[in-house]
Amino acid sequence: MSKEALIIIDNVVKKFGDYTASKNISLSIEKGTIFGLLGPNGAGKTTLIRMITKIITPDSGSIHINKQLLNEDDKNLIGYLPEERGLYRKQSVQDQIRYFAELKGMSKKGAFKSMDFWLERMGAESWKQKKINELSKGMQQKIQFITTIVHNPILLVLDEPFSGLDPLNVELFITIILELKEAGKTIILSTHQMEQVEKLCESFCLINKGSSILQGNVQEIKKRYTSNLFRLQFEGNGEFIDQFTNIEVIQKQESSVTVRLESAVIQKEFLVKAIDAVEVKRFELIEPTLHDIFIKVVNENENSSQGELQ
Amino acid sequence: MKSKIFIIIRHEFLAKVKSKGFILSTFLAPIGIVLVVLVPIIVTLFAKDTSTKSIAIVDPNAEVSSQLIKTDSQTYFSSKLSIDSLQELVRTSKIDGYIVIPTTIESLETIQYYSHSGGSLTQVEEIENSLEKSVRSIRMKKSGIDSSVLKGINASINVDVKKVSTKGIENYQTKELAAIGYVAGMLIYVMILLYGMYVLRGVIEEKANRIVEVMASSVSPFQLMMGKIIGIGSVGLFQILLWISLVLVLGILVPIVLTFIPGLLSSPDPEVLTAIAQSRSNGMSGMIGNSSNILSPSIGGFQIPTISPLLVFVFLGNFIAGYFMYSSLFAGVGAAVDQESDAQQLQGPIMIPIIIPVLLMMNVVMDPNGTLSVVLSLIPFFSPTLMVVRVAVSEVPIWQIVLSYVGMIGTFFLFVTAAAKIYRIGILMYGKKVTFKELFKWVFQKN
Repeated sequence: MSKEALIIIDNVVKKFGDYTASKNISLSIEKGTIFGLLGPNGAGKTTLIRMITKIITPDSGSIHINKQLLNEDDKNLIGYLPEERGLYRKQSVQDQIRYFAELKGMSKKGAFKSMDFWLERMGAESWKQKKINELSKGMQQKIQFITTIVHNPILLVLDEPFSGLDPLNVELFITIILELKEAGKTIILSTHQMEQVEKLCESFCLINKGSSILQGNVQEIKKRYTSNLFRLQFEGNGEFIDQFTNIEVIQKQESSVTVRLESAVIQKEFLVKAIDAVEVKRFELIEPTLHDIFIKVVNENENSSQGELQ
Repeated sequence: MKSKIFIIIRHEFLAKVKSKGFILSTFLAPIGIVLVVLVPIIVTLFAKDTSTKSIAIVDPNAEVSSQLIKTDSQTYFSSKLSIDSLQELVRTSKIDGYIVIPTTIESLETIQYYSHSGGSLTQVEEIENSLEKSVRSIRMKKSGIDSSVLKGINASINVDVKKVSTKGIENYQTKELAAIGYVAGMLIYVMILLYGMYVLRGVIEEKANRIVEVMASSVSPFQLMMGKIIGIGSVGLFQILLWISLVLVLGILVPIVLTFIPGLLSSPDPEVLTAIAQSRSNGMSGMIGNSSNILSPSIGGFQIPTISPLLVFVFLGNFIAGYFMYSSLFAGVGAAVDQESDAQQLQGPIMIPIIIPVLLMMNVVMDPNGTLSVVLSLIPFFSPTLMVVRVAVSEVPIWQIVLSYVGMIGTFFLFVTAAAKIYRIGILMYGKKVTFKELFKWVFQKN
């Protein structure tokens, strides 16, 4: 890869009593990219995030940021939006943002300048003096997001940033996240929403039961899991499909059919015959969604670990 | 770059000081204390001055009646009316009641008081007192005891305690000092408990609102815990200092006001005066040694005791030491639970050592330098309250004060180390009811 790694996680283990929340996880996150962190509930995503944000320390293994071992001072370089949001309910927006900014090492002046910029960007200038409990949930989310980025971190860790947002605000957040990426920030996105990961992330890591079971570039992995499924949309009599004996029909409907075409030769033959028989509206390769891959890989992992137990 | 712990301290301090609760408690608490002490005084003052009764005395020998009239001519008067007409007078409320004195009083034990309303307890007591005195003096006279001898027998003797110290012989105001010691001890107890609970609630709030995770990604858990403890503690200190200033102002105003109430100044009743003195020392007037000339005016010969700067120092020092000791434990408990109702069970063992000295306080006031008092006041859990009481009431050797501080500071470090471990694990743990066994496991767990 041409890009430089910002975060390198090497063989990290974290145990809570008898329970192992991270089993020898290794991964690297490139500078200026958006990295997806996927996994079922309780897979160990939060534990991994807490280690990256230096809230907890691994039992063994190491985490490097900018080629240096992660230490307490690096907290100022990181902005963390936890899944469970939390603000001081009785405090004003301004006091709150300033407090978090100063805790991340900003000066008062710098904090106010950055705060004004982000409040304006979020369309929230008029809330400055309002108390948090006077704001709607969506407004609170925006304030929470500002507290995450106000100190201009080089690494953003966003845990389910879109949950509870209306579609308009989801768009706003996505725009801002992409802007931040353009500005050279590195972003770790932990979410259950696979479409978002497909849309936004360059690479990702799938965690299950504390282990990394799949990681890499999104496009490469999708290619790897391609299953040669094609969908044909047409107008006319669909009976022509029955003449094929060498292809598998997955699903057949009034004006569309999904088939598996194993080789390029078969694909060509199928399409030529289809054009003769019906009016072809659309013919496309069905890429596996991350969703499909997620379910497939997690299920395989469950089965194999059950096998291990037996 | 400012230290992060300082940012937390400032935030905690300002958030609390700006709150309505703080402003209210700062100004209402002294008013509350003053009311609690003043109301009984006012009630007794006014209860005594209720309209004079008129009680008719029917005395065939006119011996007892003349004595009674001598003691209180406004209430008692001699009457030769028949019982029937006296009853009529009572019924129509012309007089409050009547008493019939039997012809022989040598073996008199009970006497009947006839009245319309039955008479209040204090009223009956007053009648009893006057009758007793009158009958006693008549009986003594009859036995041939001279009135001057009588006076000598009846005289009460007051013990005036003097203190022999390096400064020579000083007046020693045992009762007043006891009151001050008691109030100072109670105040320390209330402040430690109150501000300890603030820490507990603050930690739980941060955890329940999920703020703590963002905080932990910005500062270390230890900084977070200590910032909170120091921040809230400085609010407590600030409040105490505000009260001291308030009392300084009142100390100038109150004597001026008091001179305008002649009833108070000329009142010969020592109980009332003691009560007034207590009310003033409750208002912490006694805390300020330097302003003793302002704060200890003599009222009716009664001296409000001056308080040494040492007591002020020990009071502030013990609040700080006691607060730090216990609030770190409260922070640990707060971190271990999800909501306030869950904290009840875990905070019990912290409350016990805070409350025990309050139960022992009276014993220490009574015998401040007895072995029990000395030993108790040197136990670090009890030192914050009991040492203040001892310093207020008596002269405590400096080595004992120093030893108590060594004990408290050592205990503080022990508690903070344990609390920090619980805190670090607890703040990130949700949905689990933690038992003591687990808390101990966290404390002794490595890393």
